[in-house]
Amino acid sequence: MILEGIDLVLEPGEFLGIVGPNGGGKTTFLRALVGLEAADRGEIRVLGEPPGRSRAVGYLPQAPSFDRRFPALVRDVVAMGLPSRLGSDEARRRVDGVIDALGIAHLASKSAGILSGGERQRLFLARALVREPRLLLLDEPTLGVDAAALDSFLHLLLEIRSKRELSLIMVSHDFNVVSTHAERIACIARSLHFHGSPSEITEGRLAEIYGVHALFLDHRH
Amino acid sequence: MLSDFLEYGFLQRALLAGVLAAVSCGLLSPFIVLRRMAFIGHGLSHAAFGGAALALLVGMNLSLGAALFAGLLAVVLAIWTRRGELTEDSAIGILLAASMAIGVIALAMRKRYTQDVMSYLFGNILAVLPGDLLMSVIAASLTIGCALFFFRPLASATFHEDLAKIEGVPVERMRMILFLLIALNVVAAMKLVGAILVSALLVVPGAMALFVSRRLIGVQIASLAIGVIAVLLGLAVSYALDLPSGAVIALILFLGTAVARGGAFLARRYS
Repeated sequence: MILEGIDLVLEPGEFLGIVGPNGGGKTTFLRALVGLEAADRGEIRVLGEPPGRSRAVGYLPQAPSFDRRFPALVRDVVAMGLPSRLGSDEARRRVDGVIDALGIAHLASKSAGILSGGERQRLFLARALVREPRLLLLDEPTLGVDAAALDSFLHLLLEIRSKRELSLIMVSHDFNVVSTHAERIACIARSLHFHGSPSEITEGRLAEIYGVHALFLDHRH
Repeated sequence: MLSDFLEYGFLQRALLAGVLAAVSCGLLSPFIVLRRMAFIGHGLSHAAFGGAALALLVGMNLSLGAALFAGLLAVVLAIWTRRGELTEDSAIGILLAASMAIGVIALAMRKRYTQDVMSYLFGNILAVLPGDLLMSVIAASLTIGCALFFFRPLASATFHEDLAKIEGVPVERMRMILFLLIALNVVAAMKLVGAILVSALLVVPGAMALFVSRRLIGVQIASLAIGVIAVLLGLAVSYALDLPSGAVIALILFLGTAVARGGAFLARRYS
């Protein structure tokens, strides 16, 4: 995937939504931020460091999946996200805390392999949050989740954000989902087409980026 | 029969080498099964065969030649599969064929006594020499040490490689360590069960143990126990019935799997 001309700065505590058509490079952009893809040119700094260096970054991959046979309880998978060299008391406190906060305490001793799609998404969010990140990157968290689960997931996310000093970058192909909650949006389709408040983008501009007429819902900021 | 095992040095060495191989292969087995690289044992044992044949040709110690060649191929495998452009099964298939070809050509060029090399293909646990036992002790010690020290990063990298990488786990180094440990254990165990059957010890205990526990640590302990039981039972049966021990051990592991699968099927059907 070739991405060019992307010049973006995220302010501390900001919620940035990244939207754009399928195949436009949103996931590649996010993977570059966490160091899974290398940039040929330009500079990426994440919390002041090169991609992949800062341990204060949490990442929720797109449609998180794993081998269902993997023998691990939900709490084991969450604990995998803990930073190394953490005392066992602190580790237990963090794992229990994040499991409670995400409302999955009833699943803690269940096998991770039997979880439903929505539960799996919360499991991976818990694994990202147990690191107590300052920046949380979410790749299409709305994919394959029904409307009720999506609503509860987004509320949970905003609740966590209000309690912690947490910056958010959420990638979604769905403009309406992102524009409802994000303070700023960036439209990426191979390059940066728009960066600003969701209320600033026009329907015509959006149609141009997506290549089709887009339907606005009137809940933008 | 027990008195024979207590009396004869070659039987004691066979027992000890077999148990050591079962312990270290049992610890690695769940990782091999979960990473879907069941044929890695097969590939690296053929690499070791090629290495032993080359060593014979140049007048080098056979075990050292086998270990060096298998180690080299483990490194090549880790590098080739690093970026996911070549899958592990394809890389193993390519390297297996090449190693076997090198071994066959080296033996053809030698045109003399090649029995020692052939013992790497079929193994002979009752012909374990003190030097072979030392190799088993080294392989088991390193495997147990790494399994304890790197348990968390190995588990995390096996569960989800991308996430583990983002969380600071050196996933490529973990893969290299895992491949080198497998190569070392393959070389140590080949003399016992042979190249063709070594993958039984590396794959079956882990695959069976996945039905036993819901946690990785429990699966590893079960895998280790299954391997040790199969080796002890296999040695006793092969000694009593005068059958090749490697083949008996592999068959016991297969029968154990068949019984466990049958039991699980019946439990599901009538629960």
